[in-house]
Amino acid sequence: VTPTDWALIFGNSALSALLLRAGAEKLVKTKVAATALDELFPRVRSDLTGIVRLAAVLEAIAAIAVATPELRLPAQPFVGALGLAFLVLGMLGKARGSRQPCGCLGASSARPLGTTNVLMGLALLTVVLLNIEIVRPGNATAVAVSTSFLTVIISVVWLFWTSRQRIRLVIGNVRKETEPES
Amino acid sequence: MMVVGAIALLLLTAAIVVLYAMMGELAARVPDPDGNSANHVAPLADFTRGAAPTIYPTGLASLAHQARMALVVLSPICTTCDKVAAELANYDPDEIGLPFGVVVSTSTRETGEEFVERHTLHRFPYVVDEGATWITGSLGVKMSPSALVFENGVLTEAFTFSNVQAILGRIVKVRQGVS
Repeated sequence: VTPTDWALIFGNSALSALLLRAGAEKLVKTKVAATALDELFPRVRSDLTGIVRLAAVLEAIAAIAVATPELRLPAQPFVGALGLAFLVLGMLGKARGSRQPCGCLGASSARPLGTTNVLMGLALLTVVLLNIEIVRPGNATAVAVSTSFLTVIISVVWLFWTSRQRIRLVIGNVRKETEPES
Repeated sequence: MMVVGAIALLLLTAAIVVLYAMMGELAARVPDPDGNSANHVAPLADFTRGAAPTIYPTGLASLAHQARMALVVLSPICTTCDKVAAELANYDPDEIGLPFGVVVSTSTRETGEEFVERHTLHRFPYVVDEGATWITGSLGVKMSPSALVFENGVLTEAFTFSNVQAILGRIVKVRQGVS
């Protein structure tokens, strides 16, 4: 595995973990992101939950595709479109003084559309450029397998991190139950 | 073969992430028995943003033309609302920092009036909204306790909350963000 392969592994696994989580959270909690879009486009009268749901499905598909050798390159236009969408929405949110939580990562995303989304969009576009630049990795199988494993590790650590309070609570309860009576 | 195994593992992780999101959504709907969510304030997703009621109930008429004001929606049948109403009893309406009214959403007028009396909510501008006709019909709000922020008569923000201090902190924070 060459240094450029490692760049591809780290870039794609971070991208895949981010899109996987964003897609899953938005799929379940559609309303928060739809409300943020409603605020950004007040003239659009129709319900935007369908668009949010579609974006969530595209994010999840792109997350799996970038880790699959045959789909990695064909997926890049979709990832690029998502990156561009994040960038434009972030810029619009900043310009129009958006105040609704963006719901990009579900209900836990308290920040409105703005700088974070612009940075996220730029990060996605950077990874797209990296993928286009490295058409043939040194060891395609190793890159695909490592990307999948690293995505799994990042996703699991991220889930544990966001659930740390609940985990502490559960561990505390278990300890209480196992304490011997004096 | 290894690639297939890795992709399968990735799909399994995707399923776990979706399951986690679903569990989080369910957990958010269950009150914390230890009261650890006492400072919980979350944006309300279901409300009519930009609604500008043309008719205000008589009890809230004094708030209709305020540049900025807030309404708190409470229901006598919700435990958290009871707690919030008891906390409100400790607040002086003039010290809250912005014009502030209470909407008691209830099925019968008697239950609503009893709730207002029990928690001395009549110190605030208030209305007993029988059948939630005004709050749901004019503002699309179906949840309590919730706090609605109006600017120049337009509903701009809505939150769910479980603690008066926390929601006041949030509303003041939002106001500072605007200026």
